[in-house]
Amino acid sequence: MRTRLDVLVERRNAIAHKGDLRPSGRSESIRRANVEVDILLAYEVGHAIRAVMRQRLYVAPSLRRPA
Amino acid sequence: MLGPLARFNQTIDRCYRLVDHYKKQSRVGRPGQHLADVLRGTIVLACAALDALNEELLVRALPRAQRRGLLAGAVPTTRASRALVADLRRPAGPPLGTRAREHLRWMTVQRQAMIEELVVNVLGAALPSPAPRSS
Repeated sequence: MRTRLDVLVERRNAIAHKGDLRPSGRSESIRRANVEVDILLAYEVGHAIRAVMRQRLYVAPSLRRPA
Repeated sequence: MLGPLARFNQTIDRCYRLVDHYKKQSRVGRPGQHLADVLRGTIVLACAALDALNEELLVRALPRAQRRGLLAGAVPTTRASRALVADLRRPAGPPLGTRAREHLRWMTVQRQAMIEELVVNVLGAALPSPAPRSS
């Protein structure tokens, strides 16, 4: 399943590695509103990952027992 | 010196300022190619910021988890993450943070699969459940 985050990373790779070009040679279109959503997505993912790591290390480390 | 989260927030602020620059320049008519490229650069910057944050958080979290015995239940599924866990479990060697950084510098922690591999399978953290759908 491709998540929204994976779609963002694929777009990033297309920009960085393939010039953000379509097969026809024209550039992919880009919209400001979509980019703002992408920035917010990166922000939310980063903070969520930090929160779950803190939860694991400091808040409830014993909830998941070693196998 | 800023910590990883503060640096990440600062870079996200920079991303928004780039978009603001686009807004100011493109009020009338179709925006120029250079402004579309500003948006493309913003996407690359946002992804790079997320990758850097994840790497820094893991470099700090994994040694701490190892010292507390929290990596005992790690179930890495990729060759790279298995090597990382095996290296962290070695009783002697360079500091744990150095070992973690040496492995993580070769990984990009952007895609969901890699995030889940390192945060869930290795560190043992639980990702938040999706909110229940309202009917």
